Amino acid sequence: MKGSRVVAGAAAAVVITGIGVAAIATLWTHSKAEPALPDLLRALPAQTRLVAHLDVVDFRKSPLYDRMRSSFATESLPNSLREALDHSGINLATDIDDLFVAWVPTQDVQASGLALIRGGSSLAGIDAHLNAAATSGKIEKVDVAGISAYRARGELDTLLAPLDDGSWLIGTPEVTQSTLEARSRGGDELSSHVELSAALERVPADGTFWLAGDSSWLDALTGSESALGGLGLQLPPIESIVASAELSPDVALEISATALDEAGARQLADKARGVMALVSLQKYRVPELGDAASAATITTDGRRVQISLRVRYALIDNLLAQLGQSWMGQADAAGKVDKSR
Amino acid sequence: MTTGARDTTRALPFGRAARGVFTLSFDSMIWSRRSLFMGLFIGLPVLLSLLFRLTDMATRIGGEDFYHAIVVLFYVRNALPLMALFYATALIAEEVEGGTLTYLLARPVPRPAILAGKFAAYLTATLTLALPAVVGSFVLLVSDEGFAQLGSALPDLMRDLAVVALTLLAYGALFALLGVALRRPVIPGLVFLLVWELLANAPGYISRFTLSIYARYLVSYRAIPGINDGFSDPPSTAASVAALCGISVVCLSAAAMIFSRREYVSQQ
Repeated sequence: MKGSRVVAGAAAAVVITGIGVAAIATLWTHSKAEPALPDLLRALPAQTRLVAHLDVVDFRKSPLYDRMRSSFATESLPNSLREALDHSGINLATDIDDLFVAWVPTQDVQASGLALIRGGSSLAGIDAHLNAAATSGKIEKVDVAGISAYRARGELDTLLAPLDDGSWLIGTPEVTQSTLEARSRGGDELSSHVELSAALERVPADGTFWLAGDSSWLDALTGSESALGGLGLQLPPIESIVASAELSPDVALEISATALDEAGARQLADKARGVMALVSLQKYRVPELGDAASAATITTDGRRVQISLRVRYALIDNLLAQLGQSWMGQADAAGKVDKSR
Repeated sequence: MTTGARDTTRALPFGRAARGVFTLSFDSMIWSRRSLFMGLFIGLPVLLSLLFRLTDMATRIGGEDFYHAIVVLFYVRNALPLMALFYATALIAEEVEGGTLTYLLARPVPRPAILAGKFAAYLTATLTLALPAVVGSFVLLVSDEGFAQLGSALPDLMRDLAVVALTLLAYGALFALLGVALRRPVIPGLVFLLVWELLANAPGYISRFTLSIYARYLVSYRAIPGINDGFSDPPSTAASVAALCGISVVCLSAAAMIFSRREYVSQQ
């Protein structure tokens, strides 16, 4: 009996050790992780529909950036963004380390929101640039909630405001102003948007990209007049969506959608599986699509649907080549993209 | 009767009797050729996981996805039911074939206590083999995506371990009943696994008459959706747990009843 007790004890020790290692990993992750959402963004208005984050440092190291580098060249940017960069002196390729974006549609303007950019010392010279632009009359200096901000009335009316920690808030004036005023009052306006707040609790602490939104932006994406509207998806009502992506070494996408009830979740999972099945049917014309569809995992847990997809860059390259498309301008200023990554 | 000696005219208390049977049975189960082969079989995914980590053998699947596939396709659908079959059917049948049951029944041990002790030994022995293998696969494969991933997948691991235990309990109870009721329970048990349990893939509600459907839907991810997924609502977590526990209780009770009343005549 003693020998069998030793065996049982050893088995128990292995199980407890494994669970212990995983528990330590949980605690270690929580202790290292910065809060997913900066405090400032908790002051966003309650009508915020979507919040997204990009770890720009990770993004610049990824094979995706190599493939899309030329689309970030100044001459490729929309005029409105180019104007803001001209006034502020921000170099997109080097100055920004971290980017948060919020879509906050207002009554008058659908395409309304703000961006919070962090870059540490890289952003130190922005104030001087903007001051010079204000002095020359290109932009105006304004006071917003006790902060000396700048307003650029160009193609896009933009407000740029420096924050205490060296980061900058850039956005449409109405939204940016209301956020700064709420912040100065210590307000937590975003918490009144229950679905989005709950979604933001689920975003990963680390990761190259994440977004959290309520159903409205998905409605816009799959509505009858949208690019995906032709698929006739007619998705069941969704409470919120959280998506995250890692861009190195492969594209690893995780999407978590919360339906209103379990039946809706199952219906949503069925729709997703249907789309994957349609995609995989194209494998006879484009074999890479079959591989891409088979790489997807779709599961449900109560009201939540989880979709996981991992795709190699080589597969996307081949697929784009088959479809006669490119990565929005693959060649960078120095020459061809290194596709060995 | 001397002071301190047990009253031999009365049977041993149930708990003490079961504990004694458990001790003897567990020892013989663990140190058997069957356990050696089962241990190697159940441990195959750990070896595969090691190969996965040390080589570039799999480039189209991530570590965590591979772990999910191992749990769903290897453990829940195949390895655990087979393990239950070969252990649980032999609980009483082995004693009958070996001619030792008569001696066991001659002891002042209540018959249900014999079955309880043997079943507890079966459960402990199979969990001793299965749980470390699942944990080993988990640690090796999930950590492929980073140490932090182990933490975020911990709830899945705990759920998987519970599913392993419930699966072994339910299948073990069923096969223990077969072992008690039939002279040669292995073949019918194999037929059950290879034929009847395939109905878990069938469309409609007929799948609810299998054990496999409940074990499958207890796992929070399902690597390969079945045909059935499109035809009927899957059982909820609560329903699956209730079904597996209920089947275990019914089968064990029936097995205890049959074992208590049946006469076992020695072939010798």
